[in-house]
Amino acid sequence: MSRTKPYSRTIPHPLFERLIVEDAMNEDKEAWKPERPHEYGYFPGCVDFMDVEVKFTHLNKGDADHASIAAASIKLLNYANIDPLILDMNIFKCSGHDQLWQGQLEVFDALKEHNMRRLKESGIKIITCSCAECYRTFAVDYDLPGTLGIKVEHITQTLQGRGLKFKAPEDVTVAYHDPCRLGRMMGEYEAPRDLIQLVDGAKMVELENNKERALCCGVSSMMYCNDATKAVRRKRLDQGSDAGIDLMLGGCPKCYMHMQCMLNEERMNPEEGHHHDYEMMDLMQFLVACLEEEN
Amino acid sequence: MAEIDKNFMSTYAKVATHDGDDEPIQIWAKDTDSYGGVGSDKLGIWGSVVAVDFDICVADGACIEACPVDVYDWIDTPNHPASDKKAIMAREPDCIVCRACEEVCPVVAVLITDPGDIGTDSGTSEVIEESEETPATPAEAPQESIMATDETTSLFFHKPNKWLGRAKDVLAKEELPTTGIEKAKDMFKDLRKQTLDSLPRGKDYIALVDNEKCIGCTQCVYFCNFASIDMISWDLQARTSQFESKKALILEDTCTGCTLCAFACPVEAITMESRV
Amino acid sequence: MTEDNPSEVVDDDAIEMIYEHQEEQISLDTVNKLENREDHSVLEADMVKGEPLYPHEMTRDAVLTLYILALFFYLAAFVPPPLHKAADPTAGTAFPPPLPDWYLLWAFGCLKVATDLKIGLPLSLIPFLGLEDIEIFLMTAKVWGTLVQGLIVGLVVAVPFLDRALGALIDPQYGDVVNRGHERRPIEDPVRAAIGVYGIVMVIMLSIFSINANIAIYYPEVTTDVLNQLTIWGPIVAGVITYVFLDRRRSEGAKPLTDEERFSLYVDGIKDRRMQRIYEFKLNRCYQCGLCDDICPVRDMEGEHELNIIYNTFQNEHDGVAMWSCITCGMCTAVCPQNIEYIDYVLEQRALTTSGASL
Repeated sequence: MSRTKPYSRTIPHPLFERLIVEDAMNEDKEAWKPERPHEYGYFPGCVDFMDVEVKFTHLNKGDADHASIAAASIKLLNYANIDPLILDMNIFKCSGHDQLWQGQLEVFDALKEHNMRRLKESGIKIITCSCAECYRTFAVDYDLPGTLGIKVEHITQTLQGRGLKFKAPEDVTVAYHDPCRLGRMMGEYEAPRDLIQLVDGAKMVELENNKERALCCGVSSMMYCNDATKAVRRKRLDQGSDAGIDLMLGGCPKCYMHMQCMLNEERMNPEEGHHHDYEMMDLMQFLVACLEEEN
Repeated sequence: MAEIDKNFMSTYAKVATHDGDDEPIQIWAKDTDSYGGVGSDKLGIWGSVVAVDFDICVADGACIEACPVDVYDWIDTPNHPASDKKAIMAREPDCIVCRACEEVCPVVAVLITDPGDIGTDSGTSEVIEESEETPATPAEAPQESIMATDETTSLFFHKPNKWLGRAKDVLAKEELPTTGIEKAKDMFKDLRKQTLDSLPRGKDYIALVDNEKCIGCTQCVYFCNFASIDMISWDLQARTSQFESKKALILEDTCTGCTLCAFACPVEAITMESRV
Repeated sequence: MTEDNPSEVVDDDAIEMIYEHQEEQISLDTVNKLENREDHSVLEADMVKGEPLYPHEMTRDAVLTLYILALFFYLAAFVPPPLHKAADPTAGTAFPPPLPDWYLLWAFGCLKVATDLKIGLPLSLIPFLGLEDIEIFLMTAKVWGTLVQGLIVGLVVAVPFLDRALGALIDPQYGDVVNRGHERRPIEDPVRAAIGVYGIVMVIMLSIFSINANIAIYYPEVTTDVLNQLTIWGPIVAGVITYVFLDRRRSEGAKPLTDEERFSLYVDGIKDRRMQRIYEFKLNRCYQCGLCDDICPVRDMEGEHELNIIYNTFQNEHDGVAMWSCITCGMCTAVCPQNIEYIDYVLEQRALTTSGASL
C-alpha cells in the first residue's frame, strides 16, 4: 500500500506567517515623511509576501501573480485621476489580519502600533485597500475613522462612480465571488458589481450562492488547507462551472490565491477527476486587462 | 570515494536534464566529457535543490525511507560501478528542505540547498550568467517543463490564463512603483535559513510537545506526513468534546524528526529533542 | 513504498494504539463524570437553574388562584350589577342603546364615525334651466365603516410583508436585509413608535366615541361633536407628541444602548447567570432556530448529525464548529435572526487561548 499525498503540505503556511511575525517584531522607530502631501493612500497589503510564499512552494505551477494586483490597483487609481501615496511594505507592515484571527495578539498589536504611527505621519485623508481583509482590519479592528479620522475604502468603492470606461478585448462571461470580509462583514456587495457592469463586453452572471450567502474560499487567515476546507472551495468552484463562466473575479488577493491554487492542483492531478474550465482572477487584474488603448 | 562537492553549483556545469515527475531534473558534471548518460559509468550530480552525486551513491535506500515527502524514486543505472540503481529526486519541487536524507546517507552523496539560495545568491559572476541562461529555481521552471514533459502536465499547461497575460501586458507598458517585493524576498531568504538552522533534525531527534503551551489547534496533525501525531485528552475532568482540552501526542516510533510540526505550531509548543 | 517496509507496520500499529488509548480516555472520562457528578457538574447546575414543581411552583400558583377567586366572590357578593332596563332592539338609539362587547367597541366606533360620502352636483347654479341640485351617494356610512375595519385588520395582517419595504423607506439601515429581525426599541425608531401610538390611541378614542349616547347621559356637556373632534385629532396629537419626545431624547444623547451597556445592565439584573463576557451575552440571545447549522460550510463538510452551533457554544460544549476549524466566514451571522456575531466569539476565544489576553 502506498502512501497517498497528504493535502496538508500544500500550504506550508508557517513560512509566510513567520515572515510577517518577523517583520512585526523588528522595531522600526525611524521617523518618515512622504515627499509631498497626498489625499489618498493606497495600501497594497502583503501581496509581495504572498508571491514569495507561492514561488517557494510548488503552487507556482500556474501563473498566479499577486504583485500584479498592487500594480493593477495603482494603474487604475491613476486612470481615475487619483494620485495615491503608496503605503508599501518597505515603510508599512502587514495589517495583521491573519495574526489577529489566529489569536496572536502580541504580533497584531505590534503591527497595529507601527502602522498607526506611520499613518499619522503620512497625513493622508483616505486609505484605500485592494484587499478585503486589510479593509476590514483598518475599518473595524484599527477603527481608523474613529481614532485617526482617516476614511477607509475598498478600492472598488474608490473607483466606483468616477466615470471609468473599460472594454473587454473579447466577449467574456464573468462571475463575482464575494469575499467574506468585504461582503458579509463590511456589507459591500454593489461596488464591485457596478465596476464589472462598466466593462463593455463582459457579461456578469451570479453564482448560485451570492451576496450575503456567498460561499467562503475556505482558508481563513491561512489557518488550514485540509480536506474539509478544500471541499468548501471545490463546492464554490463547482458553482462557477454550473454558471458557465470564463472567469471568476474576486475582491481579495487571498481568495485569488486559494482558488487559483485549487484550480492548479486539480489540473496537475487530472486522475482525481475534478476539472474546472475557467480561471480565477482578481477584479483589479481583470479591469486592467480591459483598459482601453490610450491612443 | 569522496563526498559530494559542496560548491558544485559554481564549479560544475549543467550538461543535461532528465524527466522528473513534475519538473525536469538538472544534471551537473565537471564538463561534458565526464557525463556519459544513463547506462554509462559517468553520471555526475543530479538535481539542484536535492542534489545527489550518482557517482558516489551506493543505493542503500536510506534517503528514500527518510524522506517525509516522498521526493525520491529508484532509477536503474546499469553498468555503473557503485551500484546498478540510484535514488532519483523525481519530485524535487516537493522538497521541504528538512535535510533528513542528508543526515542518513552513509556515503554523503546528498546535498540539500535552500531554494532561496539558488539563482540569486551564487558566488561568481560567471555562474550568474550561466543560471540566467537556464534558470534552475522552481519559480521559473514551468516554461521549461512545457517542452520537457507533455503527458503528465499537458492538461495543466494547455491553457495559460490569457486574461492575466493581457493584464501583465498592459501593466508592462508603464513603470509602476514596486511595493516591496525585494524586501519580502530578502526577509524570506534570511528567515528560512535562520529557522532551518535553528532546529536540529534527523533520526536522532524527536519532536516533543509542551502540554502547557499546546492549544489543541491540530495544526501539527495536518502537517505530519507519518500520522505520528494524534490529539489526546489528558484532562479527565474536561469534557471530551471540548476542543482545547486535547493536546498533541507525538509517537516515538514513527516520528522521523523532520521538524515540520515544529514549523506548523502557532504557539511554538513543539521542540526538537535528542532521542538519547 | 515497498511492502516489506517496516515503518508501515509500525504506522498502523501506532494508529490503532492511539485510537484504543483515546477510546479508553473517553470511557474513563464518562465514568469519572458519572461518579463525581457533584464535583463535575458545577457548570450544568448553574446553567439549568430552576425551582421544583412541588412545593414551590404549586404554592405560588395556588396563592394566585385563590386570590383571584376571592376577588370574584367579593365582587359577586357585595357589588350589585349596574343593570338598566332590558334592551329593546327595535328602539333605535333610544336609551339604553344596545352595545357590542367592549373589545369590539372600536369597530362599532368605526361604523359610527363614518358618515355618508356624497357628491353634490350644483345644477341650480346653471341659470335659466331651473334644475335642482343632485346628490350622488359615493358610499354609505355602513359600507364605509365596514371597509375601515377591513382596512385596519388588513393592515395588521400585512405588517410582516410591509415591514421590510416600509422600513427601508423610513430608515435604510433597518430595512437592510442583513439587519432583519434585529430587535428595535422605540428610541431607536421614533417614526414607527409614533405610528404605533397613533394606532393605540385611535382604538381607544373610537371605543369611547362608540358609547357617546351613554356618555351623554352622565356628562351632557360632552357632545358628539366634541367626541368627533377628539377621535380625529387625539391620535394625531398623541403620535406627534411621541415622535417629538423620542426624537428629542435621541438627539439629547439618549442613544440606543450599546451591547456593552446592555450587557452591564443585564449582569446587574441577573448576577447569578455567570455572564462573564460580552460574547456570552451575545450568544445568550440564541433561541436555537438552527439556521446557522444549516448554512455553515464547515458543518456541511464535516458534520454528521444536526447541532446548533451558537447554542452549543454558549453551553461551553464547543462541539458545533471547533474553534480552530471555523473559517470565520460569517455566514452564521448573515442568517442569524438575532444577529449574533459568532465570529466575534471565535476571535475573542482564540486570542484568549493563544496569547492569554482578551481583546
